[in-house]
Amino acid sequence: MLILKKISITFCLLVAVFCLLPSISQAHKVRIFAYAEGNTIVGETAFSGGRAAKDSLIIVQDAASAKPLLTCRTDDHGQFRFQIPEEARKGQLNLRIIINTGEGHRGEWLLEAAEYLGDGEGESVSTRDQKSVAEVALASMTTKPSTTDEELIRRVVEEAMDKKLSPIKRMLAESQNKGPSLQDILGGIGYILGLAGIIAYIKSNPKG
Amino acid sequence: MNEKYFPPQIIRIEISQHKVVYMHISEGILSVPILISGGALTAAGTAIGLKKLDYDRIMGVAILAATFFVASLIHVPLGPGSVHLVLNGLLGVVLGWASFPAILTALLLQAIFFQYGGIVVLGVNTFNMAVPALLCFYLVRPWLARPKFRPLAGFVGGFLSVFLSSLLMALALALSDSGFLATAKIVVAAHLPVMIIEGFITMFTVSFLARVKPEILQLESRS
Repeated sequence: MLILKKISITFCLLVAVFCLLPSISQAHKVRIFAYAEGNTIVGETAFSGGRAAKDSLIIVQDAASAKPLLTCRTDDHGQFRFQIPEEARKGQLNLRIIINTGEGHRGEWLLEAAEYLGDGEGESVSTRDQKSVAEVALASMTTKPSTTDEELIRRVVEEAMDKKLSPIKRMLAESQNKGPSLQDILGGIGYILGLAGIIAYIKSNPKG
Repeated sequence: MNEKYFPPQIIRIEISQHKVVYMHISEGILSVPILISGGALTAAGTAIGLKKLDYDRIMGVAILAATFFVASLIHVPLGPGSVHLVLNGLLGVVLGWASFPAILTALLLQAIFFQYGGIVVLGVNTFNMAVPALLCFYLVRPWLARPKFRPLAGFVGGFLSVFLSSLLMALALALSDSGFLATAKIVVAAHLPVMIIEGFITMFTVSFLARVKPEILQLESRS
């Protein structure tokens, strides 16, 4: 009976530990990631369970000086977008994008200048008029080609690539966010038990 | 890698989520003499630990090594960031010298699977966590035998080992770099909640073991 009691106590403890594990390690996490799409920066936020962080405050700071550049709020899908501030573009600032959901959940994402600036020269043109780029390019394609047209086409392609690649960027960002997986944990425990087996084998007395 | 709240060399930052203050020193920070001496001391400690390891206790050591291995995944929220459990006090109190091989194994696997710490700094990291464990073993042992002092002894073991580990970590960083006091303050302050939590965990675990399976603690055999 005593043994039965011991086993049940141990079992209860184990269950308690396993129930606590994910909740402890994942609490207080809100994920945020952002990437450049042409002249705007697009971002998504979610809690660790996958729930969108609706109507939460987004603060954009200069990463070096922590000077706030702008704020905005997320929409119903936890997404946000804002124009790249002129100040950031000029100073080539790395942007720290912070989400604060107001209940002690806070996440941040560092968007480096190189990521949203692209190659400097073409970008300074694109700031002037981003939306009409495609139209202008199409129009100019019917006329005779020149170097500026090439420039435009390049930008159109880049813009399209940005759009197509953004989900992939997002996937990469998400995969970077992952902590140790269950396989890692169980694998580690397995290794430890296996090593103990080897040591036990070495230490065992073959004669009996 | 996004943050510079704490001195950047100590802290591994979990990308974009929140800061986690690890008890593990990362690669490429410590100077070569520290790495070598840490490695040598750990090798010696592990040799002693393995030699003292009785055949009957191997599985117990393995279970505690596995506990230590998993404990670092349990994050304790602290302000904007968090710190993780260490549990070296529990290992020390229960295992004694066998904490060395147990912690070495667990840290090696953490380095491989979770990228905590690293292979080159394995010696120093093991030393930092196993030596306080061992000290607590010798300090707390005499009290453990007496049921009245057992909870207090458990708490002290859990608390002190994390505290000493933080100090050793700061010392290792200071010997390679500079400013022991500043680093020590940050590391110790960050781990204060962990010390208290681990004090209680060790206290309850030791009391529980003493009641349910006293032979694990070897209270009778070791006078």
